[in-house]
Amino acid sequence: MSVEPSDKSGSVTQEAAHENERLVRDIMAGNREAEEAFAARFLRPVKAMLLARSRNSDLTTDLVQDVMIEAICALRRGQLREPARLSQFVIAIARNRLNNHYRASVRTPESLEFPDNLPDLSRNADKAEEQERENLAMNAIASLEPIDKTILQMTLVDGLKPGTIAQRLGLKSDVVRQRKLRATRRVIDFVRGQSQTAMPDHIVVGKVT
Amino acid sequence: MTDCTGTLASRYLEQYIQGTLSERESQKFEEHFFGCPSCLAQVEALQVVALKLGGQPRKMPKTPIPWPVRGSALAALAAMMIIGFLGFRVLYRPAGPSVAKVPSVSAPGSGNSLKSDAASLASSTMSRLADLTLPAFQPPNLRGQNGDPHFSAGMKAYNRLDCRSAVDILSQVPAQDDDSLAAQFYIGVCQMQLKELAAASSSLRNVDSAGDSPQQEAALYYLAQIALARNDSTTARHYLARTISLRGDFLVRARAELAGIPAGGALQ
Repeated sequence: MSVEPSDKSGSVTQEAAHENERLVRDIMAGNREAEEAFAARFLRPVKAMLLARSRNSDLTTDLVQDVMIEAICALRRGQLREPARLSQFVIAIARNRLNNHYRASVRTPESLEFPDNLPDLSRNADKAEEQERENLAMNAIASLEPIDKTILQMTLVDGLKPGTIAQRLGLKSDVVRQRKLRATRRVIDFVRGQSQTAMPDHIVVGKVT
Repeated sequence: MTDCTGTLASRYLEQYIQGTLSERESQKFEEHFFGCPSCLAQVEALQVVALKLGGQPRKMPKTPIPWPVRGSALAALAAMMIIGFLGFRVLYRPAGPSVAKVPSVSAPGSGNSLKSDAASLASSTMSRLADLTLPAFQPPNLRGQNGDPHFSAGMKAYNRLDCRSAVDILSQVPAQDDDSLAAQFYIGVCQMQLKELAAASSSLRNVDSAGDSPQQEAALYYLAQIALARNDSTTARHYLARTISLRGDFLVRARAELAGIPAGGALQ
């Protein structure tokens, strides 16, 4: 998969900007492979973004395809003026789509142009990978001590702060913070470390056992 | 591997998943992870864990016993132990001849032989407590992750138990490298193995002072071991207590060692 490198602050490098320009130009020229490459590159981040913002996996599944279709159609029409800002362009479309969904109760949803010759957005490989990640997540959760699992539930699901968790569990805040940090790191490493399809990583230090 | 150091992910990831990050910071993080596969993978990993955790039943851990109750129980236990100990001393007081032998064992001119015997006994007990064995190292086995070559080479030497070479090679890991803290930790334990205890303490203290890290708990534990090897029970207790407070992988060992340190304070 072609990936846009970024510097430490998250800005797009010169090389990535050229790659974006090429991708945008090829999609405008009607190149199907470029559309496939675009879908392969942006489907996962769009999904992650929609899930983080909506916290609703069903809604995410519905909207992710809409976002990709709208982005591809807009690129075909040459609506992106600065190809180097391709990521920001896709992010903006995703954000608008989500906002429109929430406004839909007071407004008729806009109809989406749905051309026939779109790239495969179902991406079975991604689904298999997702399934694998879910299995690994279950194993990672099972590997946690009960107290760590409770702390992660209270943090990630209930959105509670360590101080509140500490009060509820009768622990010190520092202990909750430490345990939360360690448990978060553990589950992330577990899910990513054991995934056969793991993406390239930051440098990961060895662990003491 | 990207040139991303993971700083944004470590700062924003959890709040982003919780949905508590400000809009501006969310956008900044999104623009970053759209171009950074490793940060994206972290987002995805934590999202799937959060989803799965949301679907799991809640089990509140046992509420800890309130302090007044716990204090009374501990006081009662302590009283029983003292009574038992005193009873044992009364019933099994050593016979006259063996007491008479003690002065003959002491060094000439020493007027405090019993005290020094007790000290040396406690001292040897503490030294025996010290766990100076090298911790195992599991190299990360992830696709596309090679890390710093000095770190990899150093850890190969470490796994061959060639501590001298490991220290030499690991010292070349650049300070700004993500592996530098891990390198510092393994340098510390190698120095400990080589009986360079002062240098080992210094290396491990650096790891501790870096704050929360995967190596911090282990560094505290081995600082305690070095203190035990030096018969410095006060420092050993301090580091063992800090190890216990992190409630991690070394919890059981640290608790057992703390309980095993003989009473009587520092013996240096």
